[in-house]
Amino acid sequence: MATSELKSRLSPEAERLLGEPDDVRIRAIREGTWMTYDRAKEILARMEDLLDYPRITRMPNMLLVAPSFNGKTSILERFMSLHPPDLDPAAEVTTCPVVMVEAPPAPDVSAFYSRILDALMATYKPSSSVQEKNSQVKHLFRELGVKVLIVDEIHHLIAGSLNRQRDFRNALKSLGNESKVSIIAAGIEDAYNAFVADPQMSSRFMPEELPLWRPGREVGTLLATLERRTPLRKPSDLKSPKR
Amino acid sequence: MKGLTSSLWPIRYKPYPDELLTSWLVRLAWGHGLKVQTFCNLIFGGQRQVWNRDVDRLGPDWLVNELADRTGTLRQVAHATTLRAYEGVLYPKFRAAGTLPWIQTLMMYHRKREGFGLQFCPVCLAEDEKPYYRRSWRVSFNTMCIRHQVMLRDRCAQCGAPVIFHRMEMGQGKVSEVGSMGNCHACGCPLADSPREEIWSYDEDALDFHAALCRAIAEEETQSVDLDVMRVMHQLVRLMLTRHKTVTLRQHVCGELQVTDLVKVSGRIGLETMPLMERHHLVQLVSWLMVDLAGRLEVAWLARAIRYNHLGKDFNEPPAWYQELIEKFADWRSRFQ
Repeated sequence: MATSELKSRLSPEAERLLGEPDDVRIRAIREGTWMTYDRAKEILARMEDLLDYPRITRMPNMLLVAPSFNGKTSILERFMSLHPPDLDPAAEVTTCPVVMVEAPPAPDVSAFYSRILDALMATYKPSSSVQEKNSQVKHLFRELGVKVLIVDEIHHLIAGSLNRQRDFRNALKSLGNESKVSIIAAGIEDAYNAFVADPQMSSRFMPEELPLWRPGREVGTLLATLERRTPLRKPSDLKSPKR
Repeated sequence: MKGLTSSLWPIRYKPYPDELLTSWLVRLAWGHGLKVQTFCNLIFGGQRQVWNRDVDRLGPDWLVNELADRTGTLRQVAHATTLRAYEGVLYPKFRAAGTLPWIQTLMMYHRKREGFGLQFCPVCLAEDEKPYYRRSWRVSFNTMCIRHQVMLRDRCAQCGAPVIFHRMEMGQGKVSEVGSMGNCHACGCPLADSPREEIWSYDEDALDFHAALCRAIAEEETQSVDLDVMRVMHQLVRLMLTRHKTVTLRQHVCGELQVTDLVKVSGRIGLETMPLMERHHLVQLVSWLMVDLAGRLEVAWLARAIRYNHLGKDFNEPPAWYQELIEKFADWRSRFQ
């Protein structure tokens, strides 16, 4: 294949990598890349809305629901990367508009607060009471200017008794109410069921779904983009339905 | 493990101008939403206690460097929050034990402070966006706020308790309930509401001399403070407080200025442990002497209020000019000529 033809099908970055040894190219491919698509754009735009939302009595929240391996975490991480914390040593505090945590494996409120404090890189007493941790989290949210809290794997909520599930949901609700922070919860369909069980939660968390990928124009475009960004010397023609 | 924990804190307040180390430390702890004792235990461990000793004075490296590194503050800036940084300015050599000349004692008793070692200006506290305590408020001769032309205060006007701002959260449920560092720890009354007393003095020149010292220390212009002058002044203060029967320098100066002596107890209590009014009175008397040291000491000597041997007693390596000055009083017979 002519060099010019090879080059035309690759992005400039992939083109640059073509000259590198195999191990470098393999590593680059494994690192992955962010590829946007229509639904992801919509969800990201909705997240931006939440970030810009004025602090009101009842902050809007979002529940991102999708099956496994459908790109939920990638979208959340993309949003995080667009709004990183400002760690300027000369500043008096870290400005941290978005905080992302993973829900603890069981609906344990204390562990949930600990995860938030860890994400904020704060000094805290692990053995503090739930109330103390709650108070510290709210205080730090105020100090650090946190506006959006992302809780991934929210379906862990259902891995506990009904009472503990309720406690966890209440903690989530009151944290949002008291600190005036928008919460983006993300998880598989089970999360949706767990939230729907509580009318107060279902009215606060607007569900956004990521549908399963099906053959079609959008998948084709996505695969074509993936191929363009992958530094392989021979074309794979991923988007072709025949393959 | 140390490497993993030595990153910057999310809350990394820098010291305010002339801020005291403990004031900065309390702000940082509260900024993290933690009580000071909890915060210090988490950062420094149970082996390194902070609140049952005068850390402002000791300025231990493990504490100062940790705060500097975790807040992105220059180490020399962090060191300047300690009273140790007055070495070579107010006293020649730092020592960990005993009284340091011109540094107010706190009279520590476990984690309490029974002395009135920390002063404050109510107007400064009222003006601060977030009230904080100045390092210069621990200096004995600094009895007035030159900026606001008011006397400093050394206790709560409401309940008479000393200022112990790190104990404000005692008995409080949450740090967020503490409010401001500018309140009295005992009764909760805002110290900024204390009565504002105008600066008083016995002599205009003496006040100017005293005020220049207060200004230099409060505005961090310590280069304009002469250590030798401070040492001589401290020697004169000691003589004014001595219980030696043949030394009546204080009474003599009070007589010269025609003022009432405010010092209630002299002798074992040093200037650094005295209440604010008595200190102000004493520093005014000494300042009056310093305005014309040779002339006024001679008058005192002639009036038999002081003897030559007392002027140099327990004064190690006095400045040459002072030694030369007191040599004039070496021959007691010349008093009768």
